Amino acid sequence: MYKITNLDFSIQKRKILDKINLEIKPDSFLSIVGPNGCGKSTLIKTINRNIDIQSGKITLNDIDIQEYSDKELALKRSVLNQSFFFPYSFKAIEIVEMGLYAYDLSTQRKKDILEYIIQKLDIEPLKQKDYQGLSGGEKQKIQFARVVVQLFASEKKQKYLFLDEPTLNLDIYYQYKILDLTKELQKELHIGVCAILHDVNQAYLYSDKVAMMRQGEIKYFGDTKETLSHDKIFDIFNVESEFVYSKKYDKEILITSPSS
Amino acid sequence: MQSLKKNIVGVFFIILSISVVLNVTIGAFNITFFEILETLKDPEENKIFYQVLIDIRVPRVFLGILVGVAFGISGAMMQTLFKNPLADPSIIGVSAGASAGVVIFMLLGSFLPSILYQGFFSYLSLPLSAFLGAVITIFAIYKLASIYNKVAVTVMLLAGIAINAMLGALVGLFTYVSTDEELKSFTFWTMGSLADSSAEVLLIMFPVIAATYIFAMRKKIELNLMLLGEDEAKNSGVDAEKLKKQIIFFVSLSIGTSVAFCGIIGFIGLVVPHIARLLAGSNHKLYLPLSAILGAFILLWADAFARTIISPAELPIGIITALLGAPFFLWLLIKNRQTTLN
Repeated sequence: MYKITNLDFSIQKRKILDKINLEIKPDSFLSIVGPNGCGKSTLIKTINRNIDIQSGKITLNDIDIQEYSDKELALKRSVLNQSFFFPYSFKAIEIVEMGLYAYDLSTQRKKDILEYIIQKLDIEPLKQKDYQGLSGGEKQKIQFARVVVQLFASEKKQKYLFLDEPTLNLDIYYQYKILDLTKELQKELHIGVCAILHDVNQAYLYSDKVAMMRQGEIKYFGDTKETLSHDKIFDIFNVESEFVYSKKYDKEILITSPSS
Repeated sequence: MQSLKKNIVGVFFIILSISVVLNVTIGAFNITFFEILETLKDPEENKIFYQVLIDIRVPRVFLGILVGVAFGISGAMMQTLFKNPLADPSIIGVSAGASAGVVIFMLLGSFLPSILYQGFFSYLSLPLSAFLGAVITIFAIYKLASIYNKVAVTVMLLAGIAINAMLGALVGLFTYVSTDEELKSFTFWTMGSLADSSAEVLLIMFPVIAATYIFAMRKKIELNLMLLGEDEAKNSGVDAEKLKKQIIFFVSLSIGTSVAFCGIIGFIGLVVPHIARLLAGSNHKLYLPLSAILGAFILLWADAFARTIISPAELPIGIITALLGAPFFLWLLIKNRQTTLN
């Protein structure tokens, strides 16, 4: 379990993170939602040591994260940051394979894992293409595949997956495909997922817990339906929302609408 | 196309081997391939040819290969470290830093016992001071230019201008105050030369450059991951902090040793990795060996021009590489001004 206590972060006196306390548990899907610039990405980066901790403490399985080597952490968790600039010529499959760096695997086992993920994500046509020539959405799929193979390569359970806007640039089909696969991984391998999502309906459909952030603070935290209530969403985003039951699909969805 | 990419290293290795033989035949006077065979068969009969071959031509070609590999592979690693195709040792001032190290050492050297900077010791003390100059420069530029794990290209290039200017002043000062015949001239430091290809030089350069090459090849997967970004490399399990220090160490070692013995030979580290990337892609598995081979190839031919074009006199080799590299640099700037500089 990740345990974050009293985490603060500021840049030139501006508070980016303000007294964050949070637990990320295995076999659970935690969504972080909140307006732009509320500190969501900074939080994920700090948990993964991409930003130095200024004050506060983060532990993984009761051991301070500073105590782990990069490789040890890589075997326990995988991170998808927001898409980045990568102007280099690589085959897409070579990018996916980079996710296996931390593992000592035979060539055959590597091939099997890559093949499996490629089938799962339906990205067979992309694998021999040059990454540079792919569209934004296709790049996102390849990066997601890279991050997933990093989790997938060992049988060990109770790992963690951090996703910073995994659905960015994707069409609706792939948004659900990626979230479905994430959910499946969580259930099968008992992975703890921590995802930054912008769509509150997706947060409602996939999460077990939701944290709502504003101005560096976690304003609301709790079970999905409770946290995504009309009043709380209105308080954070200033939009109207309602749970609506769809007879045809036999489930509730969360719709939003501009405030009048 | 795929099979071409795979074989490209082999193809260029063959081209390099042919170039080596051709370069041995070229010089103040030509020795044909046939005459080389004759000479090797019967050294006594062809004494002059034998001496020219063994004492001058072959060591010089060997030195050319070593220096070419050093600049090629260092340029390739620097471009990965800075994540920018403009990060060439001569442009951002690493070569200048190395030669400043030597020049400062020589200035101070006049106060030290002469054994430290003359005779055999100079083969160790000169590269060492060049190495220190290079390490300090890369480290300073990297720290100056990186903001939140990203490299600010403008800062990197401007720092290079400042360091190059500072070196110009230092070397100028040095040539004014020094009267020592043994010490090298201004043109040597700014334009480079492969003229000193003594056995001592080769013996010190070979292990240094071999070690750098082996290091680079052993870290090819980590270097690939560094291209994704330092955060991504760390998240995937690469000890990025350590790797960066190792890259700086080995680049400084190769550049430092090359500069200490051959002066600044500009732009090789810029042009070579770029062509290698165009031909073989960015995967370090092919990109590194191809950079090494192309570096040796270009340096050999630049040297061939340098020593034949106004024969029996010699042009500084840096003139040739700058004539080739500077327009290339401008072309890269124009091509990348949208993406690279922002």
